[in-house]
Amino acid sequence: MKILEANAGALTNYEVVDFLRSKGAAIDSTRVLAQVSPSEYKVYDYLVQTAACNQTREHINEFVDKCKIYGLAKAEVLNIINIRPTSIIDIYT
Amino acid sequence: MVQMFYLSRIEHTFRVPPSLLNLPIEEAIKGELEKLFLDKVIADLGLCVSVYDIKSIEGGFIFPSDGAATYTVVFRLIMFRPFVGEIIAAKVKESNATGLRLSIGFFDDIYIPAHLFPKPSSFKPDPNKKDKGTWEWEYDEEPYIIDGIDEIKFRVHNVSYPPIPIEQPKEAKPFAPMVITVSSSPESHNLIGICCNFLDLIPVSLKAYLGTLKA
Repeated sequence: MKILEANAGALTNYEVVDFLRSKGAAIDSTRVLAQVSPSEYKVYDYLVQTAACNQTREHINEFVDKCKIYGLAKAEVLNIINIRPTSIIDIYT
Repeated sequence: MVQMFYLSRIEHTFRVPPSLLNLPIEEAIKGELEKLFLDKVIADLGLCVSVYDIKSIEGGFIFPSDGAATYTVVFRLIMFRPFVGEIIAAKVKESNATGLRLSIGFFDDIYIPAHLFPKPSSFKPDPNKKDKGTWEWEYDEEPYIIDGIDEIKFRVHNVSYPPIPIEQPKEAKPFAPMVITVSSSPESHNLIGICCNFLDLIPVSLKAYLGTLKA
């Protein structure tokens, strides 16, 4: 096994949720039929409880465009999308 | 670029069993990749969550005295690899005198050692069970008990990948290839009784080792 590129790109939590959903993951009990394995389901369950569950691609694109004015680093924008801070404390960390 | 989930590009050569010959090639290869990599830890890359896509498939040669074809595949995996300083929300899984253990559903080896708790806090041993107990955090003269309901935010401190041990004593807990050590320092706390947020950087020691695939 050869590791060609250890970091081929960072993913927001939303992108992981979207990818798992496109494979057939869902919250209800149709789990047996989809081709998603149980360990992937655990990740999906965890991510659904975070801010990523009700974002859409348009929201994220719009957010990134609006953030260009402030000149934030890409990592910071990604982290804001993932954590969705609602108070100053969240942003501080 | 720092994130929780990364894409990693890997190249691997492996054989596809002849029982899968009736499937289209991408499906057979994807199934084999999932069996090989899913839910496994790769050293310095993290925990493999999912196969993202397949970039290229080459080969398909059949070696002598073998019934299966061997392929060289380049593919991308979604890896879970928290960075030092990241904030993760996790549930308390167990607590004993050495510290706290947390879980995020798909990953359970997250530890807070006793010295990385917010000061002051103390450990109250449970009279019923010897090893278990509860941790309390004293702030403004009020003790806040960390119990099973709370979901706590932690900061990753260190990630370490311990090497696979050759032998283990019988009572040792199952080997943890990836260990995340986190710290909780109360820089923000929510004074609503049920939920306490400790934002702290805990060293995340991710000890990852993928023994069978170390080639």
